[in-house]
Amino acid sequence: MKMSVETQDTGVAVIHLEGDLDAKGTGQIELQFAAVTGEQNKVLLDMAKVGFLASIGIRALLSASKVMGRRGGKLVVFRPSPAVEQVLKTCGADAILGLTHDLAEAETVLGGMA
Amino acid sequence: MFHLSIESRLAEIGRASDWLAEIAGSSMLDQSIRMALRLCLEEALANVVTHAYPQDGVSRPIGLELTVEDEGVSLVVEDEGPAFDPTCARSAAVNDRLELATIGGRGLTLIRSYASGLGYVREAGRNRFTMNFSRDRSAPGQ
Repeated sequence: MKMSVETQDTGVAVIHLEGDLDAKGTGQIELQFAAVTGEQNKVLLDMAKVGFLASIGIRALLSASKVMGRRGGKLVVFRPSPAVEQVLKTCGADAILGLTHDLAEAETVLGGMA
Repeated sequence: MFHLSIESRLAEIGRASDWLAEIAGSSMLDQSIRMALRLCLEEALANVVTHAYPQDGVSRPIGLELTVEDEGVSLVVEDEGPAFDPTCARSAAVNDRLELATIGGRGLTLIRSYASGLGYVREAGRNRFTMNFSRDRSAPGQ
């Protein structure tokens, strides 16, 4: 599981994930993921290269999103693969996290924040 | 029937997943049923590792059985923890307000959606949880 971060001029941190968010993959990135989401207020989570998502991964996303939400931040899941999107929708996590395939929409959601 | 015995540690889930992928490949299972199997295996094992057994650092056994037939696949997860029937347990309530959403408890929701049928028996001090996957229905809502 790989994770990279780029911070844009707009203040949005884009986190790119690549691999599987199963028990093993989530364990490999969860500290780094919690550290980045712990200090950023606007996170665009690029999941295009995540092929598999289990609830242990969803827990990491929700946990980060909750921490960010408490201080007025926001995490948006961006362009998940169909398999990953179906998992998010099946357990209702899409509605909690915010999910889009449209960059302009993601930027509006994140950019519109204080 | 294929068998695997693993220890009750999160790190062992990867080994179980590799075992499943190898059988799925040699059995020519299609992508959607592989995905459903892998997801349900992950969720069932995570439940056993984190809930069925005490978090005391002692490894306890989890047995896996996989049966591949023409009409579908069945996966059995067996543990020696206290009696727990996942077919009757409540799934986490879906709450779309972030501040009220619970972080965990989604595993059973996923298993119920991705497996086509579930079974449970308590036998000789063991929980035997069976998940069935029909070849013509392996994604939620199909």
